[in-house]
Amino acid sequence: MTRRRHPVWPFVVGVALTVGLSTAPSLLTRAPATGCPGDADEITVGAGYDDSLDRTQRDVINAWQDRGQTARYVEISRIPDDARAEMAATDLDGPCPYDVLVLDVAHLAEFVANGYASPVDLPHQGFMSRSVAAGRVDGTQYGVPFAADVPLAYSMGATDPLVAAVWGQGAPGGKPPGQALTQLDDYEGAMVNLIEAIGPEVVPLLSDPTGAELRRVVEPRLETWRTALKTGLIDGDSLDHSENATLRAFRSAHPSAPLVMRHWPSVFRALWLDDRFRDADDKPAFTYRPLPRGGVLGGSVLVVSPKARNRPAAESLIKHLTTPEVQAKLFACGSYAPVLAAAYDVADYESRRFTEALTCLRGDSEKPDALVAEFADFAQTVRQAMDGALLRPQLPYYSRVSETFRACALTVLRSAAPRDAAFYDEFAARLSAAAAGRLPEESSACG
Amino acid sequence: MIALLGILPEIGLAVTGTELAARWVVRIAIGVILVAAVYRPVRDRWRRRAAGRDRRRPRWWPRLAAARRLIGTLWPWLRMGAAGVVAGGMVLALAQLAPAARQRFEAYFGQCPMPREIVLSVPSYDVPGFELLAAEFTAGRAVNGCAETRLKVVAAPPVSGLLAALRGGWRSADETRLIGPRPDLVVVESRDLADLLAGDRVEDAGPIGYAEIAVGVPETLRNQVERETGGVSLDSVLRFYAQPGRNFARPEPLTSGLGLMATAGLNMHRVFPDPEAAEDKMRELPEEMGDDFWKDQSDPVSLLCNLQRDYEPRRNSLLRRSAFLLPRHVMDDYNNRTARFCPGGNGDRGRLWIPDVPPLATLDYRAIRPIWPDRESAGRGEVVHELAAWLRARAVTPTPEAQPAPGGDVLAATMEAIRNREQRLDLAVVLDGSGSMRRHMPVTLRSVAEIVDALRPTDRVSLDIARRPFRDARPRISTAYPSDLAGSQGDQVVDYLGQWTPRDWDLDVAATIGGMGNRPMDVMVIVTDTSPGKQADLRKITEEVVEQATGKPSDAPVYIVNVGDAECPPALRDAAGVFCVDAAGFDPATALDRLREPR
Repeated sequence: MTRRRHPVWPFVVGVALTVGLSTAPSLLTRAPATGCPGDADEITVGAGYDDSLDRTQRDVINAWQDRGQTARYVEISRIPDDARAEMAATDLDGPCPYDVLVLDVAHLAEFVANGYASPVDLPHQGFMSRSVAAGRVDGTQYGVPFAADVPLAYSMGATDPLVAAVWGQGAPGGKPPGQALTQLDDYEGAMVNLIEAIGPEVVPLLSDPTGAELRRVVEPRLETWRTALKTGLIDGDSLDHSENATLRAFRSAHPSAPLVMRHWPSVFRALWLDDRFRDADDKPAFTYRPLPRGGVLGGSVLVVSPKARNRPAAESLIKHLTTPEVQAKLFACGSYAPVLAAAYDVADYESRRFTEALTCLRGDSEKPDALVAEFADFAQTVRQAMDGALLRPQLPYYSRVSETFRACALTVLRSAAPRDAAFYDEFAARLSAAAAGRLPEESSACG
Repeated sequence: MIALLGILPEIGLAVTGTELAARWVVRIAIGVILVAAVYRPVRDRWRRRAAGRDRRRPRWWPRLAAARRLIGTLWPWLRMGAAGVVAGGMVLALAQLAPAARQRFEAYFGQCPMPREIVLSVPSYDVPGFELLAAEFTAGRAVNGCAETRLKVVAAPPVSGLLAALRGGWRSADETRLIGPRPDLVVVESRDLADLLAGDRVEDAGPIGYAEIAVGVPETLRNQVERETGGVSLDSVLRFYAQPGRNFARPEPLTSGLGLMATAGLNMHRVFPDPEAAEDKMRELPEEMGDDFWKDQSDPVSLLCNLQRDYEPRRNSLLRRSAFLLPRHVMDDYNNRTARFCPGGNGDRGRLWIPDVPPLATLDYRAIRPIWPDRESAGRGEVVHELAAWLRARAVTPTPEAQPAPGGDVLAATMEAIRNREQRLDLAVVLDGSGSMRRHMPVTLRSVAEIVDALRPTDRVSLDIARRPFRDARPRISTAYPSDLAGSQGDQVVDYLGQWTPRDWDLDVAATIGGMGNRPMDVMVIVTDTSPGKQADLRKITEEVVEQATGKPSDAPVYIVNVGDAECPPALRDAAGVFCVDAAGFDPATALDRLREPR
């Protein structure tokens, strides 16, 4: 019997030639796609428009220099979702436009899932724990905390029962006097308002709830707010308000009854230095406090691209931006709440020689020490609010979850009567699909 | 077999979802089919030949013996080599198919894979329509509800600034910021506009749709039009409205390509002696209607909804004696669903009659693909091309009698006439950042809002803060908003001021005027409380102020808007080149309109 010959190497040559000839052209013509093009000594920082007072954030980043390396702050858009779109419009198989991103904490999980963020080491241990947690996804630190944002209740008049009725466990003795101003226009701001309205119990439900769970946790609080909107306990215009509109309404109010506004720390300065919000003794005529059951932590983290041209320089920039002195300057001059506990100790600014921050606080005042003391009190309140802040869920499809949750929850708030069980079953099904990244089957409208 | 070969591409595309992977499926399948088809006959033939050696052989047979031996020796090697080629093809195909397979697996058994973010820039008035198309495109390509792409539809910058935006890397004029997310695909209203935008890093993605610009006539004038034109035709209707006392309402041609093409369409019909005369005529309507009408012109919907409003009789009459040059589908929509189209409008008034005549022009919407080298990739390019092809496949074919979009010389002459008649203002607002301004913030906010409101969308506005951080420091001027179109950043400037707080030392107006240097502008507006009683009290430095204002490089006038309690110094009420005005009595619309002149 003759043995059939099966030589191996022609087979190997055939495989190699086919694979080689097919892939060679694309390898030869492919653009150098592994890094961010441009000057390796210039760190490109992508961010939304700098809303800090006097553009302090932009100036701090543009002013950075380290051993011949510089940074360029690229403002993308005032609309947060437009800025997110520009940051996200990059591909794993292509180059990258930004070495470092100033990223809204709500989008971090999406960027990690896309592979646009690389693990980082925190430059030091002085960060506040909630900010550090906001920069962590699945146990890995991807974002270095940069700016914090946690809402406060700004009040004129005695608003304790009002605050308890709207954001707390309810006020004893029926409807309290006064009115609350919130932001419920259909944008991300409404989502954080709704989470704060419902409480921390809703956060774990956002990714995979059942209708029964939503009825148990979400429905009672939404019904409370629906009634509050109908009775005027919450200003009905809140359904169309975003942050600017709320601030305008608060500033232009001449309240005969207590008035409370839910807003971010960044508006403090606009009220604090406004003579209309000072009493006859030149003391602030408004008060502020953390929301009773916690406010949602906002703010931004610094994210380094896996393709950053000069990672050591990017890390050096991040280290600089998170020093106590820079954080104090961003707080005092730019109104961005710090992510370091040390930057909240305003009384220590003098001994630590945070000159720029102190200059911003004192301004041309004839009583500069009084101003610094007032700001120190405010700083401690923000710090307290930070400690009790709620974190949004770290979901890659968070923006879709937020959109879906808002659509359904705002439908409840705008309804004339309570919604039935079938509505909450539909609400839950839509939320689960959104958390898995699935498109809504018909329309995004709920109910 | 032919049928099988024919259907293979479809099967490949359906399975893989990408053309590249589908090509490999087709190649391998063809290889397998051919080998299978050829192998058995060849083998049988060789066997038959081997069995018939004893038959009579042709005379040339012995000469082939060597060749046959050689082939016999090489055959196993060739066969294994061919098998290697097929195996290599399968490896490539698997490599191509693997991501698609993984995505499908994840789509059915886990969380959706992250979609690719694509930014689509379209004319501002088309954003809602393209958002619906984007949703349809996304849903059509989704696997088990998982989208492959996430399309962000954004409004394009004004047509007059598109070229500069593309060449400048989608950055603002001062290059400090982007003007929005950089688009992967830009939709413009005509092929000629797309040609104007052509460049090294711009790729033509082809036509993607059509829209007819029709002539809409307010119903109140319908009888007169029918009576006086002696037979309604496009030409007769256009000539009717070109007469004195009548006019045309069009979208702003510097903002929207639609308005530009409507104007060019009008010029193509030679209704007016020349494009300049046409431009002069068409500018009369917004000049008479007032500042708000300039803003409404940016958007066809707002423009039409003016018919729902109740102006004073003269302006009502002006508007209703004008023909509207707008997309036919927009006017149809307006007629059919007026209440939804114009919320708050009076649905019983202002209906349009669209004469049954050929359209003024047909917009041949075209897409261009800007290539941004810092984020370009093969996958992105492929998806963008697929999107353009999908939009093209949905395009409605224009009616046979439709006039093509005007281009060439007509478009060039129209653009030149529009540019020559443009009366744009570059306004620089400078705010006094001294702490004493805190008492005057409500007046300051109101004054700046009124000034910005008096601007037209194509004017430019910038915002600077002048302040002295220390008692003896020189004024430092920091730019909060660099010069940009009032239509896109006017509201942002006012919103910014809502949270801005002055805090520094008193402002020296004279030094501030000097500090603005030779910044290009048509007018400077300094909003200040005049620092009464302070070191830099305006009353004490009047001469320096006049000296700085008259000695500065540009001849732009300086308005000092006084928001404080002290009165303006008399010497600055009517000085040359510098005017101090009290905020309460300042009429920015009149003051700014006086400064407008063709550029």
